[in-house]
Amino acid sequence: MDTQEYISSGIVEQFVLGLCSSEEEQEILRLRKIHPELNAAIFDFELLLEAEGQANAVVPPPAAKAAIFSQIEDSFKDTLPKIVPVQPQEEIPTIPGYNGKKNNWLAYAAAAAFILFLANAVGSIMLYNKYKSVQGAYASLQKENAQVKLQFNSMYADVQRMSNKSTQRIDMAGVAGREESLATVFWNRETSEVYLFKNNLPTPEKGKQYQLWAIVDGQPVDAGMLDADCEGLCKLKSIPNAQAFAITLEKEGGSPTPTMSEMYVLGTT
Amino acid sequence: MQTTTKYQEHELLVLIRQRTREGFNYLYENYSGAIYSVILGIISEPEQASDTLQEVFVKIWKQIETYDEQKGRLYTWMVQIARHSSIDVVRSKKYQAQQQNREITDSVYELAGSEFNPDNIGIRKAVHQLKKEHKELVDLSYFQGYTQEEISEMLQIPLGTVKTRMRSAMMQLRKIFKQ
Repeated sequence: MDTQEYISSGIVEQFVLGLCSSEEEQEILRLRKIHPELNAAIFDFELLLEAEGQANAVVPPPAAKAAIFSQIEDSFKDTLPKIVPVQPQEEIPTIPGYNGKKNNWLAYAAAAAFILFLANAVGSIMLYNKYKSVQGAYASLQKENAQVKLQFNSMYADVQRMSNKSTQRIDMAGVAGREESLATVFWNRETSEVYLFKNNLPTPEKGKQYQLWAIVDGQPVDAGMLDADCEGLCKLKSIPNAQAFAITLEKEGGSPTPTMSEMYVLGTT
Repeated sequence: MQTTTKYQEHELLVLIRQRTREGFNYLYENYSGAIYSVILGIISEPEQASDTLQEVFVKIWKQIETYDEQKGRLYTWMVQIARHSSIDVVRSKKYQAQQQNREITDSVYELAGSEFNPDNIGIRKAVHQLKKEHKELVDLSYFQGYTQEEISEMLQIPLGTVKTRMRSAMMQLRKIFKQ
């Protein structure tokens, strides 16, 4: 299908205006997932429609707003506390030693305190809302941070392994016809641990898996399978002694002997 | 308290989903005019249109959980609610009966030269500029809510023709919008 042709067929507008049959709608919903340019065209027309709608807006009668708000008033979560008028006291208590007139400052102070209290309450509510939205953003950042830390730790451990003084690095270059393939073995001669780094190997087809071989006295010895989802250094089987390492593509789970025609890389120690 | 903050759509959604008055107030202030114009395109009688606007905004507020921003913009979603609610009103028996009564009164107004012309409103204005065959199609589908199958039957034209015409009407409409 020609995506450009599809985009300019009118289907985008029909979809945004809600005029598609259900089959047409299913189709465009499916296609927008795989064609970003279709998705962008939908978004563009939505913006155009919105701009058009705003340009032709008609102010509704003011009574409508009041009627709507009265219907949903109870569902607001940030409603300010209702101000209850303070009942005037019948008799203002006097402090001994002062006459009535001088007591005015008390009333002023009380009023000022009350105003401060209200202002503070309004501020607190606004702050609380802000706090709630920041809290959500903070939680997702924390999660992200934990993942990054984990990745960092595993990379640091990899660097430790690679730079160990007993570790030998064996570059395995692509064999004839597969020159672009490349992989590296980090082999600790003291502990016999073998780590493999996949520099560049084509993604294996379904049911296939890369297998590492250690060549010991001219004989290939199984050195383990490379997991498809392993990133960074992948630990394979320990090998005490080897003259070379090689990788072949085998059936999932591995083979007892390497398929020579499926060899990708080879490197001597 | 007057608010002058301008919110991005995703910020506004956060405020609305937290059920804040500020969020809903902003939504109403910024979109009620455009939504009212969509409603007036279908219900030309202002009092009925205003009642429907109330119904639509209450629905938006109550159904905001069902809105999925992956599927489209907030405005597109609200327009669909407005359009469907308005079409439901127009199709109701009560409205039909009122319209019959109104016709008599309307003719009096028309004589006085104060007729209300929906073709001057919102998307109707754009549709009014379409060719007759396209206008008819958009009118039946967008403003009256008929499916393409129903239109094919009503107009006695093959479904395939309805579909082709619909697409070309859409392209014309886009051109008019872009002007």
